[in-house]
Amino acid sequence: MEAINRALWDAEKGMAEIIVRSGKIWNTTGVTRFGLLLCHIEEVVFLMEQRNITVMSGEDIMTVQDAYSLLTVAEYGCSWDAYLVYAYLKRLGYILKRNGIPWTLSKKTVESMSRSSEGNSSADNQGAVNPDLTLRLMFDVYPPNGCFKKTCPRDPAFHVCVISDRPPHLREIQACEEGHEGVPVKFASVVCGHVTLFSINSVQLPELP
Amino acid sequence: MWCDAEGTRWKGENAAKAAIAEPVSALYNKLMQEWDQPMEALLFQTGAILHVASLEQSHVLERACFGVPLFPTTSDAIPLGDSEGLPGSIGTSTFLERKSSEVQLFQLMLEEAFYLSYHMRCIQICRQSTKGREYMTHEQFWEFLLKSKRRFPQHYKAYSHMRSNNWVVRAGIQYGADFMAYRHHPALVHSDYAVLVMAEEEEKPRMNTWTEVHAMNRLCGSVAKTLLLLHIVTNQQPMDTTSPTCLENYCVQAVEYQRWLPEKHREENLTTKEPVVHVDASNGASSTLSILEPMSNLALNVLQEHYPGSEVSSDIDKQESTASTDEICE
Repeated sequence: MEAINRALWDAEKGMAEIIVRSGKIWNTTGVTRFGLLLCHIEEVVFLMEQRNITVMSGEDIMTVQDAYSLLTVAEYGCSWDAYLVYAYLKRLGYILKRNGIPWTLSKKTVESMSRSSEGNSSADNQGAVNPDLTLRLMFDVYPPNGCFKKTCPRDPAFHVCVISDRPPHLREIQACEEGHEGVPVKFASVVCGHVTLFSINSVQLPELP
Repeated sequence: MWCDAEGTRWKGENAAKAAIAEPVSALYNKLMQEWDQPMEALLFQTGAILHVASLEQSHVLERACFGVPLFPTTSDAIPLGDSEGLPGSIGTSTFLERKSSEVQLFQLMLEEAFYLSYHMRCIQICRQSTKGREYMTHEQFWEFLLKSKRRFPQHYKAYSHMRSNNWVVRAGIQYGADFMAYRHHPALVHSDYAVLVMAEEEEKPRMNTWTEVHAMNRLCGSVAKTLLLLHIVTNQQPMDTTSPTCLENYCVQAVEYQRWLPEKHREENLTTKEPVVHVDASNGASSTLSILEPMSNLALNVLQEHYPGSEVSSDIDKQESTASTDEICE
């Protein structure tokens, strides 16, 4: 039985265009670009695991195995480990988006962005990369919220940095704490499929009485 | 347990009051006063034995948690190395029963011995040799310490940084850490931190694998303490550590590590009155469940079928132990 939601995978863009949608999941999944609803590969895979979407790749229906294999393509911007973090938090009801890209982009918002001092032409780049930071912030995470609106999402509760191979160095921790408008960064360790989130923060030890 | 306004976990409201009545800084000031009888510490390879003649001195040392009482011991004295009872006015009174003329011996760890002699100037260090007893200068003691313990300057910098901010710092070996840090005597307050000292430029760096981070965190979590890494950094390379004055060139940067459980924080920062959890059921429809209302059996069955071990229920914040959390993560 085919799912109600349908999408077309664009291998060049590395995103799926949602052509048939149904249900409230779309309030918290995918990004709007000039009237089109697009999903990144991790969102597609997650929905396919739920059997909640049918994805066409050209003439063929994409299988879950096909979708998993696309996760391993570096150009699509989401690694297997990052997907595990995504799925873990999504299953708990959190709302996730890739860091550094806006929820919605319309002709109006692009015009207002180019008028302001920071014009970000690469709206769909793969997350903000701080040149001082060897680590990349992968996702913005919002708390579970039945009234979430992409048009006014407010600040995320935290950003997630996925690093599987090693814990962050002191300089990397400190670099993560600078900027990001006070939104904390949490670090996700993914080892042998186990996802653990850590809060790693510089502290000022108080002088006690 | 009793939490104060700042979130410090005291062992009861009376404990908090006792701490306010005698703050750690007051104890440190008492130690630094002029004593009629100076305290002498006999140095050995891995520590020192402190000779304390007056009862008042031993009370202050115990209250400020310097050293571990070694001798004398009575049948109901506080056991060696495991003391959590506050001597003197609160808790046990074994030391009050002792005659004031009786000598007491404490075992000090190396950092304590150096802090009491170099920073507080309240003890003298000596060594026993075939020629008899010889007193040591600070420089001689420092030279000895550099040979006795690897990375002693960094460990000492961490120890003295915390003590100078009026924290109580004890050996951490029983907890698998370098030090344990408390906001007052362990009889009065639960420990805040298990401390690890991180030196720069290590050939074999610590905590550079996730396995180690998880291990330390699990260890700390099982005793309800937070992992604190004290990075001892310096601008001077190479560092000349031949004199204790090198300590001024080190800087301490503290980093807390805590495991964060998304299962327990779903209800925070909610913008609606009825928090909801999205569950995508297998029949292709997405259903939205309210977690504050009692769940229907159907909804519960759906969840349990697809997320075995999930704790999406109205009793989310049940347990603190990490063991149960791992079940959730399966």
